[in-house]
Amino acid sequence: MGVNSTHAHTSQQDLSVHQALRADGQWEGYARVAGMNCGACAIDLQQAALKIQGLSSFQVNPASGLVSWVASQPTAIDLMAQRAARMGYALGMGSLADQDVQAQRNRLAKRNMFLRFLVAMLCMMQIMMYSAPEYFFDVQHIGEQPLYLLRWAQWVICLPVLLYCAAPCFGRAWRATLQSRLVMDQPIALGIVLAFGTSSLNLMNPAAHVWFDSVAMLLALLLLAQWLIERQTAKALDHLASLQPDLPLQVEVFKGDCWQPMPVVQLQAGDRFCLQKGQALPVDAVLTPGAEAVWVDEAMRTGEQTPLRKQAGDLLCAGSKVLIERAEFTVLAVGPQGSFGRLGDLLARAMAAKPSRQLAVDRLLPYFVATVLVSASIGGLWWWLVLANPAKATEVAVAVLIVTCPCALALALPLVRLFAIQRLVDLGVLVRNPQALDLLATVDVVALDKTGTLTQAEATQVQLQVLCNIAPWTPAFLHAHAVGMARASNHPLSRAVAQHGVQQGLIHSAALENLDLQALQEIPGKGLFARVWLQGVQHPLKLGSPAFVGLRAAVQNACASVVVFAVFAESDPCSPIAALQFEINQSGGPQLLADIEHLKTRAALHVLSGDLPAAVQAWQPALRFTARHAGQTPEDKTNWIKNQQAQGRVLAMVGDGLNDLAAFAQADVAVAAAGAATLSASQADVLLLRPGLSGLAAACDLAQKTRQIGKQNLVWAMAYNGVAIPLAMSGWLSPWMAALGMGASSLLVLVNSLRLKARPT
Amino acid sequence: MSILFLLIPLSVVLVAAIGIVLFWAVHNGQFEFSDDEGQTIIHDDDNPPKA
Repeated sequence: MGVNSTHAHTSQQDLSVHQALRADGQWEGYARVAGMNCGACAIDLQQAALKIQGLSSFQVNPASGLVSWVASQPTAIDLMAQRAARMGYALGMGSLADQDVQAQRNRLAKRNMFLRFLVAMLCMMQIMMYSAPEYFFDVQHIGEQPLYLLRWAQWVICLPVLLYCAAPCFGRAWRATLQSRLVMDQPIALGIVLAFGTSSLNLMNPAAHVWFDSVAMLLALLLLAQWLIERQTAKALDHLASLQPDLPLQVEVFKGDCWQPMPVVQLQAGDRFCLQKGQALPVDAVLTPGAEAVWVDEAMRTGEQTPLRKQAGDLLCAGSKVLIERAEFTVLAVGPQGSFGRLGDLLARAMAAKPSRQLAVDRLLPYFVATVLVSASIGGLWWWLVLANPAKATEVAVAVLIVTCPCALALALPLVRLFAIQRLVDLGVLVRNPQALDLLATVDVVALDKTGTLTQAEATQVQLQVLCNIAPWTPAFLHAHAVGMARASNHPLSRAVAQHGVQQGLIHSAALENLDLQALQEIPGKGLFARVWLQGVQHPLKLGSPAFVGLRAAVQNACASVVVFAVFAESDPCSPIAALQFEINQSGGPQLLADIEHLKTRAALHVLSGDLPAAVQAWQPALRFTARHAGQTPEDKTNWIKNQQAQGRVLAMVGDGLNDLAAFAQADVAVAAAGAATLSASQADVLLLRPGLSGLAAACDLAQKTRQIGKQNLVWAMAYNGVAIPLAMSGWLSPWMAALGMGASSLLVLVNSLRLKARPT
Repeated sequence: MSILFLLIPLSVVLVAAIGIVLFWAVHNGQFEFSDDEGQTIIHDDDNPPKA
């Protein structure tokens, strides 16, 4: 899909959104949404989008707060923005400069949320102090005047709760009512208003009860839960942001005849600029011809931390990090044509376009809300009209609204999820999409990418063997040259050779600095060439497969990979004067074996690899996967996953590279392995922070426990509501009992959920 | 009991005062970056950078 032009669009609400015309004539874009506070909000927005003409797709990610869409006209999103604004959500992306304003606004919103919770807690405790005498003594004992005083004090302290703490809840309830939708906030708002209103009217009536304490308690508990969940989501997103490299805002540019600083946004194609050590390329560039070779790290794009050597004239993609003191580049392309423009777009879109599965509870909530509202009105009307007791009628209505405060029901799942997510962070697993946790418990099939995902967990054993040598080629001297050459290559076997030498302390880094390797050249998939001058004689060097070097290897283990290093005399480039053999055995450590056996008790394990069939089958026969699939292109992987899903299976995909992105989008749960490319990590639901599959195994276990405890919570909440509603309707419950019951019910849910945080003994 | 008529309005004023203190503390960033503070002790730096 080619992006022809970028269209900075300004809607009537003065919210700029990013939208671009695709080659097929459709407009595609993404934006940030403010005002979302739960998964149900995402569903509201998606349902609203269905009614907009010309908007063919609209996807919301509640975790990242981003939306993406496809539309037939550029104006469709304006209509959507207007509709969203009426629902209480603000749609907009803004330029780089606006992001500061946006961040400022977010921080303010977060602080206000926390302050609301603190104020509600403070007021709740104080109101309970004032209301305590009424619960323990009768009116005669307290005396009428002190009673009025206590009630006035409660009323005054309840005001900030009503006007400040409950304001967002009222806002959401009001907007939902205007659009005739049912949300959780409506019975809460109605209960609060009814309880506060009748309590205010009954302030001077000693016979009637006042319920200010119930109002404050309700809000304090609600705000506590909201704040805890918001905090956890923010933590997960911060971690993701920290994975992105530090792109400089200003670089030194060669203008006229001197170097001068210039903002990155003003860079033009062809400009020569300089970067310091540790900075990342802000644009696509080539290493200026004639400049020295540099070492860079393309971790942003590939997830690979290994330094890469780039020669003058080589192309470098935006995001590559410079590892030497100073390097000079020439700008190749800027803006939407450069990969940085695309990278930013891709990242944002990947974060936005993860369709969320609706939770059964979220779908049930509107019906539950309707039941509560209907029960409250039936109870109230029954007492008013049939039993002719208007005073009791309000009490019954308030009791129904408060006792069934969907707190326990609404908290039942978010709380367990929250504690499970916190527990998983300790185990090195980051859950970005909380719904993935529910899916992990039911996963039937786990698809694993091989290279980078499974191989990173391998323990590599290298055996060194000197085949032949003459002076001055001592074994140590040979080894140093082999490692020096291996360092320049990114091939897994070369890396094994280099790491073995350095980590085992066999090679001193000083010995590597003194090497004089010249004309180093890599033949991809085969090996490396180099030349070295020694005592006035030039020696060709070769490092690579035995076939490439031209030597027969003497291998002990038939499954081992072999790398041979050989030194030749210049006169005879066929028979080596000195040679070294590395026998590389890769075995998944006992941990990987145990994790795989453990995971197999839950789900079928399939390896999806792009490698050749022989290599995939021969690789690590000790690891007993359900099946190994070789020669899989990204499309094959996606189709395979689709096929499994068509058979009703829930599938988790574990991968690391950009080639897994399509599979990630298709899989029910996308799991990014440790060290995955940033882009893949951004699309994953679950990030593994440590190599190996231990984290995934632990996550599956915990997901099941989460599901179990969540189910218990739900059953309790349902049973509680099922008993409490008839009781409240029949007038057996006064609002204070209802508030107490609601509090106890929520507390039970909280305590039960806390069991998840306990470490297994 | 008449002392209540002084003490209870006083406690309302006290709550308002605590509310103002909370407002100041929250908007002054007192509750942010609370995770970082615990780590400062393990940074063996004699001259900590001034924030």
